[in-house]
Amino acid sequence: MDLSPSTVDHRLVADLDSRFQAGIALRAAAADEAGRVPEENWQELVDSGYLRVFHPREIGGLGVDGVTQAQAMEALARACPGTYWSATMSTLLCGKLISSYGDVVEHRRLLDPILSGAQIGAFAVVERTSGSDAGTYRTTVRRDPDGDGYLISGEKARITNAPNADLAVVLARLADEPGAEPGPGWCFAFVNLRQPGVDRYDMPHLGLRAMPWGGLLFDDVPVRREDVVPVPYREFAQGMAWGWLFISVSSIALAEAALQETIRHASTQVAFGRPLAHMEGVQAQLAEARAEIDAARLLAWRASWHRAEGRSVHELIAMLKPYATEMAVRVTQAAVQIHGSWGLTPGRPVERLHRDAPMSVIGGFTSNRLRELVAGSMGMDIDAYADFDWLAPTGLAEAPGGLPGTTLARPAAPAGATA
Amino acid sequence: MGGAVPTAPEPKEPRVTMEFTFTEELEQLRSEGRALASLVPPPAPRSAPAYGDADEDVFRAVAAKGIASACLPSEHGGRGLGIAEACALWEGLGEGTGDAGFVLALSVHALLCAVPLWKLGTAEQRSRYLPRVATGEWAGALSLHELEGGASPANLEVRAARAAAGGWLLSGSKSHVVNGSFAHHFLVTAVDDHGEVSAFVVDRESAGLSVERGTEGGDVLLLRDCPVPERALLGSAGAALRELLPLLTAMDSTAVLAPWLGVMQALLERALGAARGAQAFGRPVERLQTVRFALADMRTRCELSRDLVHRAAWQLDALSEPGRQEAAVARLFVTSAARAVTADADRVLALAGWLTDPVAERAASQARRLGATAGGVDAFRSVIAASLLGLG
Repeated sequence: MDLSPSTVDHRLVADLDSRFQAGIALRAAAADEAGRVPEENWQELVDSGYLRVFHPREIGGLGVDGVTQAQAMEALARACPGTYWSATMSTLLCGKLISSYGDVVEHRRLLDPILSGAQIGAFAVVERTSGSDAGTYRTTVRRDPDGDGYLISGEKARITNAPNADLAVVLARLADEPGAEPGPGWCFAFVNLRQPGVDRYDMPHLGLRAMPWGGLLFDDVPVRREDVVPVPYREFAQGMAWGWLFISVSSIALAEAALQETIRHASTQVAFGRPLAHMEGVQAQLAEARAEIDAARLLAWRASWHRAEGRSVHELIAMLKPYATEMAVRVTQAAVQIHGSWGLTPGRPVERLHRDAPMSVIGGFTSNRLRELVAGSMGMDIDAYADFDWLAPTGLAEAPGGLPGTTLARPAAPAGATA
Repeated sequence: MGGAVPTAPEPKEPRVTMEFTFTEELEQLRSEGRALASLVPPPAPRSAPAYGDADEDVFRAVAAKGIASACLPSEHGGRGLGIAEACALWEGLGEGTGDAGFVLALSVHALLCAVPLWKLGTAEQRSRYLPRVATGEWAGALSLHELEGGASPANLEVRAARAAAGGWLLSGSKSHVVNGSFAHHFLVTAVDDHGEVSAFVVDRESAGLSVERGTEGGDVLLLRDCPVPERALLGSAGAALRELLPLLTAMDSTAVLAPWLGVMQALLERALGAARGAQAFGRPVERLQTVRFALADMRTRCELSRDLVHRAAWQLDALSEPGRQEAAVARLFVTSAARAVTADADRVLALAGWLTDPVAERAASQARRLGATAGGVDAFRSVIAASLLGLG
């Protein structure tokens, strides 16, 4: 491990940080209240170069290392988590999916506008019926009987950027073509959302309120032939890992922001004749927060570094996400506790961060889903649900009848007897 | 809205309400039970090895294989490993043995005693001790209380007085000494009449020095007007808290801590091995979701701990002013992780039918001791908070 400052592009990170703090951060509270990303934010993101941070030079990126990428993410997420989600979902996740699964030449027409900020992307996976259980997904891509391309139909829900995106990478079932060998059954479809047959709606959400979130409806929407990429289902987790990484960094940034806000508050708020910060109980909470944030951040740097070097490390990221996101919930909880009722008062940063934190525990695969994946990666056999009786084999299903004086259970009355 | 307030109909049977009182009769029964406890003897003194206990032969066999010499410079017969390299070696020792207590005996010799002798020792002390320290021939010992510095009352119990004939007279005792039964020398801090703390390296053969087995495990070093020469002073007089303690603390949060990375990994492998093929509630243990979650969390804690220890080690190797906050963060996090991992291992092993597992039980009791040494989690939190808040 080499953590020398020279291994990170510090000028880039410092420049992003000062730009975001001078603009986007100042609008974070208003963005949360209005429930949308302010127009100026998007222009500032474009000007800052943030949208190009995560990509190699060949496709118009900055070609920086993984730790620099993680630090750039953190700078934006600390300024405004809602803006961060929207922008990073578009350039990092959609950008990576298109550049990894698409064609380098053909799909520049999709990548270029995403990286320039002219267009916004969404990654549409989840449907109304279930979260990560792909068995319930119904959205289907099939050959257009009247043309050269495909048609997509179905509904995706609880999708970041659904209300305003120009392009969606959609995980969909891929209908086999009549007479052909069965395909993998799944595909990524790059769908232009600015055309007839696409409908969309907003969905209310607890935190990250500035982030656009909602559903997409596809009614036989045409998709170009080149924009449908058949993928085996296991590829899906590989692609998702980019999302787990950026969500983890959002939690780390959010926890850091809450910790700094809390240090400020504890140093000035006087109670019982001394600043809160002089109380051991408060100090212990701050110290635990510091340790947990550091742990998550270092693992995020390591994962991001390997990933940018071309290694999958998707198990490592699957471990990071539950830890980092649950950590942020603990840290913001402690921050509220130390702020007292100010922590529950709208307008205070901690109140907002406390609502933002749980979003990341759920979004892009829940913690429990990822723990399952990690266990599976250690060779723990996984299978679909099997009907199972927990208690009958143990005898624990029986009520404790027959103890002296018990009225909890009595021997069953003979049939036909009345009480 | 007007109208009569509806009234509940009269119950046909007496109403049953909850009862929160403890009747006199129940109170007497509780007293009766408490009184019977006088027939039950208190728990016997512990018979299991203490944290840091090592069999001398095994200790010497391992120490001689490049462990005792690991962190000493080549001019004194050492391998010249940096802290990050030592962490890797020590992590392997922990993973291979699964015994953090045994590895602690090696750490006390090769890290906590040898490194201060090198860093703080005079040319004479270095040439006298280090070659035979590096081979493992002369074993070093110290009390785990030394890691607590001035905060521990235990460290005030050895007094140092200037002797009329030159040198010093040491008197008092230190408990929880590691390697006490076979050590050649002891690293001891003592308090002088002005309340200043000095460090000494005291040879076993010194008059007035004896070692006893402690009642809580570990050895007790007894010093009865033990005369030590001027050359026994390690570092400057009165400067141990400034010179020695930061060295001990830095190693305690890195290479001395690193075996726990290995022990946690070994426990994870053990739990995985036990879960595979075992049955509980009539189905394979490896398919119980709560077991799967516990195993995933164990592995996550291993990975998180590793980065924090490596960062603290890298700082010691590479920075002129390594941060005390980062070291304390590593120590705090790994200490909590060790408790959590040993608890998870216990649960998975029990479900798999390994109701008594000596390796896991030993690790659990050692993890408890890890949390109590060097001031414990409260001290680590204080260090972190002081640095966050710009206090102290």
